[in-house]
Amino acid sequence: MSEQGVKGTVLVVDDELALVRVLALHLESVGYNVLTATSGTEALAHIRQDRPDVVVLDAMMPEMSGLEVCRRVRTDASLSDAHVIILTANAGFRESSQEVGADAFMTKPFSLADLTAEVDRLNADKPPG
Amino acid sequence: MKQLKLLMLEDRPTDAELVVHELKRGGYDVALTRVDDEASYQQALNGDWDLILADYNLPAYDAVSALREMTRREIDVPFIIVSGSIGEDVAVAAVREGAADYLLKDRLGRLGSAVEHALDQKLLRDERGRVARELHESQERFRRVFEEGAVGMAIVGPNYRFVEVNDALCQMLGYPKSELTRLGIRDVSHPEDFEPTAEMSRRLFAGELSSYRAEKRYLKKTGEVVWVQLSVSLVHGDSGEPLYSIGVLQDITERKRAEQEMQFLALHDTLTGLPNRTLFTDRLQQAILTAGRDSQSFGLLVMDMDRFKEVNDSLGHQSGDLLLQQMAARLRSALRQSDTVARLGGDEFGVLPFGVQDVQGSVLAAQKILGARDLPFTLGEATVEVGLSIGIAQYPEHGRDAETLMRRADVAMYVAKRTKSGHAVYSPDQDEHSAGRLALMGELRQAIRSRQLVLHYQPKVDFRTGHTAGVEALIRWQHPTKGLLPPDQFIPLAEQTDLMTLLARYVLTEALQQIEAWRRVGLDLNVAVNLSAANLHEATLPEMAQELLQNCGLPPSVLTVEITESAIMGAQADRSVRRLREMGIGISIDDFGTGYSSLSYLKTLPVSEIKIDRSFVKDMAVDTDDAAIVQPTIDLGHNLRIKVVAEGVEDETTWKMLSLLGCDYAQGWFVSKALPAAELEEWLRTSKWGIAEPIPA
Repeated sequence: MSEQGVKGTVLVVDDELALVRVLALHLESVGYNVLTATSGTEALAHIRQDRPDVVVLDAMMPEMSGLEVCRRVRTDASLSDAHVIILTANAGFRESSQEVGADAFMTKPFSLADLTAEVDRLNADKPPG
Repeated sequence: MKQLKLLMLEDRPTDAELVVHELKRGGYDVALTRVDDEASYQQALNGDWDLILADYNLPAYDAVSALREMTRREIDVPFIIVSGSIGEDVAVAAVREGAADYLLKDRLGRLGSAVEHALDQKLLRDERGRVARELHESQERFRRVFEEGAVGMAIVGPNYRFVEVNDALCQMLGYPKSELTRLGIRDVSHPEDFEPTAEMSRRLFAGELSSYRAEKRYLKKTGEVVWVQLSVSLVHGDSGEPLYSIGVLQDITERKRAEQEMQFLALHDTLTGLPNRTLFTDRLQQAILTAGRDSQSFGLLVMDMDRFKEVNDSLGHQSGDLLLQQMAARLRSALRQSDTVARLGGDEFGVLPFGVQDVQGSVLAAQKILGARDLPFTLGEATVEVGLSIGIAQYPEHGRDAETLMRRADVAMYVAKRTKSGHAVYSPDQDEHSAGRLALMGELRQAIRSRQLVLHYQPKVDFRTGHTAGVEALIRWQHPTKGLLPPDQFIPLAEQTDLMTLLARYVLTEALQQIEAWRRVGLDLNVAVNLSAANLHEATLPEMAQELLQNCGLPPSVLTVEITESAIMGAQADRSVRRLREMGIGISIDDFGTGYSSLSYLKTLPVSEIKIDRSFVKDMAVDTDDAAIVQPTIDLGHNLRIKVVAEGVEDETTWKMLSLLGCDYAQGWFVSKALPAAELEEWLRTSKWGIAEPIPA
């Protein structure tokens, strides 16, 4: 945990467990409370129940894609506070992620510094309280 | 000579002498006491006499009074009256009074036979008394045993109706006596158990049996079952006709319950409640018989957990037990009631899916099972993921007897484990590879002793300098017939045994001696040695490392231990790792990304290095998803001030990418494969990756 205490809650979603773990370890080390999920269904459950401030969401996952998760979050008014960062290895998804209402878009591979910057930016944007 | 203690009531000593003389002639050794008045007679009666002879007429007393006195005092001694002259009527009256006989003094010749007869009569009387007393006592005993005995007893007529029952039986069956005596055996017998004993009773009454014993169930008034040890014999009337049977019934319900429990225990695993290997083998044999008769097929699945020993070693046996119980429950709920699920021992389970007609059906069952282990297991505060490897053998194509099927399913399981495929169906070409599996285990211990295990060394190159900074020691088995075996062919097996400690000592000793030898020729290298969870679980590991370092005169900084993320689980492993680090030994997290690491471990455990698993590095040049893992891992390491090693660097593009990402060290075929010590030494001197400025030898 950072010395300032918990900055906010981040949900990391990717079907690649190793990446989820690395990102979670990192975000935790820079002061976030981190939740993880390895499928779209699991992610939606976390978003509804734990109300993370920022969702780091892999675009391509079997069964329910990250884009679909994002679309559902955006169509649910009660979840409107969640910020979503879409991760993808395919730069062609930029437009789609804008369409489903993602707040940010990052192309794999990315550096942790870039990810931290995006998460910090969106987290700061959360409503007070 | 027969002893005869004689009391004579006689006033004339000569007459007494005549009598004694006559008795001696008759063969008696007479001890005579003579009295002649009432007072001395009364006194003498207290003594112990064989015979009393009394003169009918005495000046101071008379024989009839003496006789009456004796009878009054309930003394039973043969009493014979002797007289000079007496009438027939008097004689008869005397005998009525209880005299044994009557003699005239002038006919003393009859005395011997009269005495003999009287003594015989007395003997007979005594015997009758004894018999009567005994009969009475025995009847009393029987009555008491019957009425007060702790065992149930019943007297039963030929019509199977109770004639008499005792309290213990009433209590055993829960009926009041008045009610039970109105019932018959059939009313209180378990329906299945009446006929067999009724048949025995029929034969008993027919004289074909004299008694029988049986164990049978009775029903209490409440309907509860009572197991009884029954022992029945026949009682005959005076003329030998059967009167009734008498049964002794002992409540053995407890014993029966214990027996049934014992039987259950003998066939089930106490930890999981599943059938054990014995019962499973029995069911397998049944399945073979049934399928053979009906020309049907069925599948046999055996499986074991991939990381069970690790959990056991790092989290303790209680967690291991918990894991087995949870796995058993998941297997049970993943399968149907009609499928047999058994624990075959250790972390090994067996399944006989019911009604599976072909290999596809068995594979489907295996997939259902694999679905069940997907969720992590919660063991107290720890959460673990456990793999399962399932081997499948199908009857009849893979075997027609239990032993062959079990062995072949085992072979397939080993293949599944080795290929990490989850499940595998037996095929004959697998057999060759695994036939020697058990033999190999037996040989391994010997191999350590005879130094068949050798270390190869793979260089670890520093990206900054482009030169070798250290080596990883990798074990190989120079097997006398099988050639050089890589560690994945025997280490997973060794982990199932107690050989890991021995192996660790061997590897550390060899590696440190080699490093010391290289230092002497100017090659200064760090050596990394792989340790398993079992090694970290040994409290003595740090001491052992220290001792071996000292033996070689080496500083702790030359040694790095490589451990996997999962191996650090558990308090003892934690202590070992911290102690090693305190001593100055490097800690490297191997296969990083394939297991769990908690941030607190990476931050507070003095980890000096993480090694990115080759599976992510190997294809990172062509697979963006892999690259997407490698890059943040390097970042993470650096943020935490931990050096990062990339394993599996196999081409120049990968090398360059890693270099750009700021990776610290590279290992892989692009640099060099693992080499025997002598070859590596040559490589270190000649390769451009070798030691920067080797001191000439």
